[in-house]
Amino acid sequence: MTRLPHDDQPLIQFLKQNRPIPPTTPNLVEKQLMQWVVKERRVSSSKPILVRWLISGAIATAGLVTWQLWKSSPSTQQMATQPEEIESFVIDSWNGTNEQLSYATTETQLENAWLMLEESYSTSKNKTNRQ
Amino acid sequence: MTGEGDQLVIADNQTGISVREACLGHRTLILQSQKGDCIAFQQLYRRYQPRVRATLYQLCGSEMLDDLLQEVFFRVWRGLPKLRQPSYFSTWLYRICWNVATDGRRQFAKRQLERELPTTEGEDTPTLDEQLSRPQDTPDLMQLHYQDLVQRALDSLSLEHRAVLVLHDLEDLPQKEIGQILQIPTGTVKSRLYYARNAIRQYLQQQGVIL
Repeated sequence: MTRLPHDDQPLIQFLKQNRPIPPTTPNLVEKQLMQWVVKERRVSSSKPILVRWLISGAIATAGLVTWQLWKSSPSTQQMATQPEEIESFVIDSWNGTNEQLSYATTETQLENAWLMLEESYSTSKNKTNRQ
Repeated sequence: MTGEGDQLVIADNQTGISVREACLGHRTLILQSQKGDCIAFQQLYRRYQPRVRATLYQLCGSEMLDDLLQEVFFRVWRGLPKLRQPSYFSTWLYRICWNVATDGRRQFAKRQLERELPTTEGEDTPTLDEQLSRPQDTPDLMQLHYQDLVQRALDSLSLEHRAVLVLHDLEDLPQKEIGQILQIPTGTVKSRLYYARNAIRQYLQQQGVIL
């Protein structure tokens, strides 16, 4: 790798000057190639129609399969039980609300009773003081 | 389709460069060919055919040259819709050229083995006496002799070394692009080039060429 690039210049020049020249291309080569190309294009141009049919068919099949699966899958059962769950949830939450309400009413009752007691105590105390 | 077929015939009958061919740029040709324009592809073929043919000839010799050339451009036609960047067309084309050349050589070697020709090496490569007996008194014959020498010198190299030398020194491609074509690091391109130049120099000097 120590050789400097300019050392190779005479060799490169020699190779370029005397590079092997390929034999001339027969016209037949181009004609054959273009015939193949046109043929290939015809085949490929007819392909999209086939591909379109295949794709639409595949989409339809996939749709049918998905629908069948959806119909027979356990998720449908879950959907069916969902109203029951909702119902039980509503009942639970309703009960919970009732409990809270009952707790609140008892609490207010207690408070009222306490206030009454306190009032009665204060009035009795005032009476004794007057006496 | 028939319209384009007619146009193709017209293009075939034309000996010079058509107006359309002159107008269409390199990038446009590639883009048109990608869309399936056969005439644009034909022009693309005409533009690149000499370089591809020369490269194939330097890599594989004259054996199956036309078949290999057709194979290259047929693969190009098929692969063009997948080419995303038209600016890489040249590198991509050389890559196909390299693949076809390696495949072609493999097939050729296989055929040679199958045939098991009784020819000896002496028949393919002329002896020193034959070389000396070549008429070298006129410049044209001298040129032919040197061309033959270069061809044989290239043949003496392995395909990997030959490819690097041909693409770099004869086709003037940069080392980075050669690395992309052959799918090897640039360092490997450099080392192969160094080895190939030394080997070919040695061969030519042995044949009496003063460099």
